[in-house]
Amino acid sequence: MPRTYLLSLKVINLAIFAWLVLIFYFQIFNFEAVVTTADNEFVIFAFIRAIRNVISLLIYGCGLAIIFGISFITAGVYNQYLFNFIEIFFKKYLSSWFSISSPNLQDIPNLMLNELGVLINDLYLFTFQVLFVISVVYAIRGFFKSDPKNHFRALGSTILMIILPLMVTGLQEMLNLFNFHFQYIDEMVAANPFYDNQLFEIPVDNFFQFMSSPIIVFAIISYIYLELAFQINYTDTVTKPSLERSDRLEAQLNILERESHFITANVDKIREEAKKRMEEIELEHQEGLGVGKFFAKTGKRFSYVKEMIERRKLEEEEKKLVTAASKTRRLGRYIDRLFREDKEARDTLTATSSAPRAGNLAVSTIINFIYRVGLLLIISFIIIHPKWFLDTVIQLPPAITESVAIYSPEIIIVILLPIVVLFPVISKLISFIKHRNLIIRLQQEGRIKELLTSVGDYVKIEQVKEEEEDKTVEPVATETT
Amino acid sequence: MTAGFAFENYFLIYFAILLLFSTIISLPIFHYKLNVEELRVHRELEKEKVFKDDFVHIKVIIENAGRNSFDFLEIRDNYNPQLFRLILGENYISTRIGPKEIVKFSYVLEPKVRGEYALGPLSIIVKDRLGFNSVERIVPDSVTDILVYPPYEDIKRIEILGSKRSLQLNYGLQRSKQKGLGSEFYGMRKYVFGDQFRLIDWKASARTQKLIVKEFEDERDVTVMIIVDSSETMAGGAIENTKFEYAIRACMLLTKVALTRRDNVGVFTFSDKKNFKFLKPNSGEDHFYQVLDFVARVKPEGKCRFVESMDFFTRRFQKRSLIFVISDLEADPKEITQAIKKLIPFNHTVIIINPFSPWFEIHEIDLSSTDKALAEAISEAMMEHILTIRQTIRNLGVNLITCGPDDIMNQVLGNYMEAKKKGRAY
Repeated sequence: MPRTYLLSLKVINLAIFAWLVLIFYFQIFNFEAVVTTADNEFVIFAFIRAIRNVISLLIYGCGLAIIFGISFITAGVYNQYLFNFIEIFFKKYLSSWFSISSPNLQDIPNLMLNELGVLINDLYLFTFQVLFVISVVYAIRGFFKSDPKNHFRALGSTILMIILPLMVTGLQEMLNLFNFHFQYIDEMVAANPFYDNQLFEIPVDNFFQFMSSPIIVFAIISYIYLELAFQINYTDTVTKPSLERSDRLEAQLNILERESHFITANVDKIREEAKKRMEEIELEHQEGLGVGKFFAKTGKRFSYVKEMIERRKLEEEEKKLVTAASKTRRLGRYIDRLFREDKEARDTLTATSSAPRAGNLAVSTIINFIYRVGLLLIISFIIIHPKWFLDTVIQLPPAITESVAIYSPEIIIVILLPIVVLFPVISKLISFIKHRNLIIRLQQEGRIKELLTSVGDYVKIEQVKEEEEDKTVEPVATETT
Repeated sequence: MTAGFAFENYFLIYFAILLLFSTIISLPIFHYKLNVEELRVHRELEKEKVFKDDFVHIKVIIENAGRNSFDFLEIRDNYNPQLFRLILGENYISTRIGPKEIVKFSYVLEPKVRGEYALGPLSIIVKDRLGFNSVERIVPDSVTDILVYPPYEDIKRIEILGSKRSLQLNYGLQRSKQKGLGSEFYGMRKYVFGDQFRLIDWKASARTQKLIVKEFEDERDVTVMIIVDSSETMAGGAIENTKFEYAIRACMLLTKVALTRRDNVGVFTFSDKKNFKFLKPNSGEDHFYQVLDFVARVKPEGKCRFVESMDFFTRRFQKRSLIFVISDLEADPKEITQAIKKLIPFNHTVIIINPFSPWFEIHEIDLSSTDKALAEAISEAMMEHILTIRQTIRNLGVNLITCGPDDIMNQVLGNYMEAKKKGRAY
């Protein structure tokens, strides 16, 4: 059941991603602007052609430069032949093969710069396509693997498609400040992929208008997508170990049950072989490997370390086999007895009963999800609409609430910072009060030691003290009757 | 958010706010619901005394006595992997526990080393659902002591053989008890001048046409004292196969055999004066378990103080007895001789079993040439040391037997049998 529940969560999350993509491409991002160029050609083809042209011009230019160089060095001895060669080979064959015209050497740098401009613009547009592919790939990967990193990457790629044009625009504006103008950047800015300027404006004062705005819907759905990814990860983390443990242990127990029945014959066989080997070793022992003999051979040089290692090597393999077989058999018997004597031992070993129930998980996920998303929407609305908050809740005078500063985005920080700090402060306060109450309650119950241990680090101090006390008391010899 | 403010982009600002708050929004609720003291976690051990290489089933029970659920709970029952081997199951669990729910898991451990060790403590990690917040706690009083006896393997082998035939035949000995005036039949022999007439077996005499007398076993008790060196030098080598572990196994085996033959057995372990432990000699099946319990708790620690140890021993025990001293003798030869001399006035029969250190301590097979050379040098030096001691104590009539891990058991049992056969134990 938990597996079905997990799968259904993943399907829902994938559907949310599809919804996200639809909103993004139908209401925010004009994908057609990045798929085709101004000449109505696919960006990918234009991009490849631009690369080919740049490389072709580079090779052609270098070839021409080398030929002219040779002609210059040889001081015109072979000039006639070289110009014939340029005429025939470069202009007739090579240029047609490269699909470029037959430019003169002095025209090549300008041509290359033009092609580079086209290439950069195409690369810029092509990046959006790559980001889209990355986004889809990671979303699909996220369906198969519960790690939220995949979901982050999928969403990150989509959001990067918003940030990238903003960065280019920002760069252009910054350069304009210093009176720098680059044609390439201007062309990139001109290829604006957004439908309109809705990313820069949001409806104020009206909660419902705010909620129906495409960028807010997109932001909320993006957040829900991530939230659900974390819920999936949680469900997976909390159920998978139990389920895997259960499967693994069941398999191990079955193997053990099967093997322990057959192992007796194997053990006897191995033991027999081991016995033979031991007899051989014993013979060697009598012949002079024993410690006694070693001591008797004091007059002779006798490498006892070598002898010992040889013996160990001989014994080791058989010993391992016998030990493993014998242990499997003992374990099989032990488990048999354990399961007979303790009826719940099988369940506890496999931890079957410890896996959380799908129903409980679903209910807790829904409650937690609604609580988190609901609270987040309210808080984010308050933060993003400081005017409403300052006007209605704090009731500041109109001189402040109607000032120009109140309409700048930075005013958000005025509300954001105190609310951000509020949550950790409240949680610390709760933690402090709870521990204080616990200390008082346990003191009343006389369970001070337990209190000190449960509260945390105090236990270490206690232990250190006890250890120090132990050290000061000298132990006395014991006598047992 | 920085990009949002820089580009005056409300989408980025809003999304950043959502992400920022998503990490902290659950914090107050998490701390409010975090009542670790409402989690009752305890461990149940199948048995608290086990033999080495035996299995022990450990069950951990977690009960949420509170009204709130714990969304993510990681419970780990700690054990020392050098001392225990996990055989089956897992010693941790990650789960969710609802209010008033009970979660159980268990695992099987195999103790690797004899001694008294602690299992635990139990540690709990509580996380919130999305893993943004977590708290780790140690469960109070969650350490359980477990006593690991020496391996029962040697004893079991003797028991199996003993159940098939007479124990005395196991070691190739024809006689195990001194002949005398007891009631147990010992054997027959030809009459010699001076034998009592009542011992003549007339039927056998008639059959053989020679006078044959019956012999009976003497039923006097023998007291066997096993003195084990528990100094830190005895702990050299691989943790599972130290000289001390072998000494304890030999001690256990000797105890079992001696008690089966109705002898009294006592044990004394020594190192420095903080670590003298004495178990009075006694007999009977129950005493075997007392010896087991006694030796299981001894740890090899402290310097070897031979003279002080023998002083302590002779003050507590003077009865004439068969004494086995199991020690690596890594002390000054003069001190050892002096210590042995303290036993002589009491007419004890003293046998020193010396586990030869290099044989126990070199446990790696693949030694480098430098290590081999070093090992050779150490063993030569050690051999000289042992020969010096042997020479000195031979004059006191004390036998010193040096042995390796393969023959220590045989040597101990063989010498016990030999001593009894020759009547040296009386």
